[in-house]
Amino acid sequence: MKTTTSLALLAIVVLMQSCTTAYRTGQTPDDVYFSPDRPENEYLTMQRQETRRYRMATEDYEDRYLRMRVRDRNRWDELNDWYTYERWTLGFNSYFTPTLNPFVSWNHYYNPYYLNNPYLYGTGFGNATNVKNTYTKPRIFNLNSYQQMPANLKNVKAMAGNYGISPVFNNLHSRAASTPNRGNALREAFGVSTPSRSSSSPVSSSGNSSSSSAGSAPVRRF
Amino acid sequence: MRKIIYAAILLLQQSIANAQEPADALRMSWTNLTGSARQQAIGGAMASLGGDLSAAFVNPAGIAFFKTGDLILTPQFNRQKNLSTYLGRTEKANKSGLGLGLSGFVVGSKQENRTRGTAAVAIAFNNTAWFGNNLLYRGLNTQNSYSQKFLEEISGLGDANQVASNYPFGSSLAFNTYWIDTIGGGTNGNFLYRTRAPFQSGLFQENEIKSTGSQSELAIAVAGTGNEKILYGLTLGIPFLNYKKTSTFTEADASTALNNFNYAAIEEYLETSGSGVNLKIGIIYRPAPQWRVGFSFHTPTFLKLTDRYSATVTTDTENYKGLLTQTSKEFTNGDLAQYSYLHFTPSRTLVSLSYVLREIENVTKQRGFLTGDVELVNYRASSFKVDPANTDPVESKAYYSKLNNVIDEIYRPAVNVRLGGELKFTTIMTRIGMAYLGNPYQNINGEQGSRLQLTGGLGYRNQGYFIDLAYVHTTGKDIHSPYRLSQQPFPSAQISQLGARIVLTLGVKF
Repeated sequence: MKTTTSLALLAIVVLMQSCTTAYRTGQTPDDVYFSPDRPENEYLTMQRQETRRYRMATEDYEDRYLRMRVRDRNRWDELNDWYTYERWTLGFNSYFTPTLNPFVSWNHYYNPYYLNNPYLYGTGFGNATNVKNTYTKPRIFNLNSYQQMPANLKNVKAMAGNYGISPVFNNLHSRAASTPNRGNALREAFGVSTPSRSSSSPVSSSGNSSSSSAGSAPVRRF
Repeated sequence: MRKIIYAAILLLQQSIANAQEPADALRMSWTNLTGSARQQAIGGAMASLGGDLSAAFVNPAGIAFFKTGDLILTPQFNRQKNLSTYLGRTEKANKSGLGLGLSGFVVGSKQENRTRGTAAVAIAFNNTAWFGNNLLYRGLNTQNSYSQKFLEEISGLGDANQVASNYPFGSSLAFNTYWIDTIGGGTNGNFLYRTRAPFQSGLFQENEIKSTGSQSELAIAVAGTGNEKILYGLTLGIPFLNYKKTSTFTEADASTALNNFNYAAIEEYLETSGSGVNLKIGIIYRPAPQWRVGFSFHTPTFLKLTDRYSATVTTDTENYKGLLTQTSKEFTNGDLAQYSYLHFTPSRTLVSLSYVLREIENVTKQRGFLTGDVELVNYRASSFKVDPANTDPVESKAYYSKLNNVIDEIYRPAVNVRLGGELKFTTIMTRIGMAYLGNPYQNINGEQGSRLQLTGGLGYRNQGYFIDLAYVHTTGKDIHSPYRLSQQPFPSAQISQLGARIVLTLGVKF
């Protein structure tokens, strides 16, 4: 996510820097107060033909092929069929097509145009499968707790109190969240050390000592 | 065996209160001010001022002022600090992060003559809510235990086998790890239950919540003006939401004696994601050149959301059953549970007034403005609905009806006020503002909340570029309950919020 955000920021900054602004000289309008019409461009503009980058147009292929043949007729003569019409076909009848036509070249696993590329469409090597969730229920919440309490219980401040412990500040990151025995860690946060707790031993086969990892609890049966 | 348990869950889960909690609704609608640095520096007021891309998210009529074009980018830094007082003890937690705020472009049409109108269009992205937050509180509780929440949930349930398997996100996990147990213990007395947490002698309780994510919106706005007195606009908003929360509640025996209860903890994980749609319509009337009156209405946002969630309970009952843990994934074939639903946020109505000193082209004579918005939000109108694509809508519909009734009872309409102003010195601008978000709680059990945001900023505009900087200082009050009980008072943490945000907007005119 951070990478995506950084790339988006970079792209927009580059875009903004590449923007031409008509207000490099003179006043810069502030549209909150007044938005004037844009100034007219003082220079005649025309499209630069050589900046066209797309080569899919038929005339571009023809132009290119003609220039190549002018340079070396013998070398490029055999490509005539591909440049004229076979590039639009799957080219099964062309000796040269499998390696020259990017849509069907034999090294298709690395070719993004190849229709059966398994990295693109999940065919070939083990289809990608969606993780199937087996439990589809809303989250549980006891809404009865939102009912209004009796007047004698209504003031939740009755729960508040100092209990003789001075207020202290402990930063979130200073807490030993991964302490094996959370009970000891929490008691230590309150300044209570409990050495006797660590010597306890389990009595059930599934239980472990307090300072070791927890055993997995089975579903109880009655 | 797991298949049998799973089938039992599906078949036997009946009148359980099960669904999203009401706090989910508030999280998506009780949000701080957002927008460009200029808008945030003036307290977020933008319903009548216009001339800023952020108007697309407040009053789209405001972009009709544009006859030029703006392209802007707004990175921002957020820092949130919470001081939480729980049972007389205060803790603090911080969270900070970098994000992308209002970014996009607006372009207006040329005015052929003064009798003909103009039009403008804007496409913009905005971070409308930042969910990054850390919360920590601890206290000594001698009156109740978190586990009593489970006891209330299973109250009246005679079959302990159902308790052990029908509540895989709380009560079943607590029961199987012996946080709660039968009265007789083990397999005896399987129709009455008790907690094994000795709250009478005191429990040290701790709740730690970490959340990340944000709500963003893509807006496509069009606006126009038939004459220079009335401007109107419409925005199609497409919000995206991504929220993750990890909470860990722990309660430990406060005494030093071995008494068959060391501690118990429940860890809950939730991620919510989805997208939606809304509309914003607005109008700005200019009775005189320097005055602007704005009105805007935001329809409820329709969101389709998906929750993915799990829970794990760990209990150490020392010499009784030792240290045991169980996760909800054991009931869900190792996956997170997943549920999709529909959510409607409340609509918003804004009225606004602005006074702009010298609406003239010569920037050296532009002096400044004052602006103010009043926003009415009926938080009671938030609602959840079953996704028609779900296969089990029957039992969920009943719950959603109850949930919506609870939202109706515990929240209320609130008024938000935003005020701000600017002084302009040709190319340099100074700004100041404030925003007050009213209390959305009905105060049934002591709930109250409000936020005050004080803002300021600077701006520079020259040679076709502009840069704005804003600082937003937020103070607020809120409450948080680690658990809620219906049969007795439950503890709540009083949260004092301190937020700082630095917003930078870079822009170019074209």
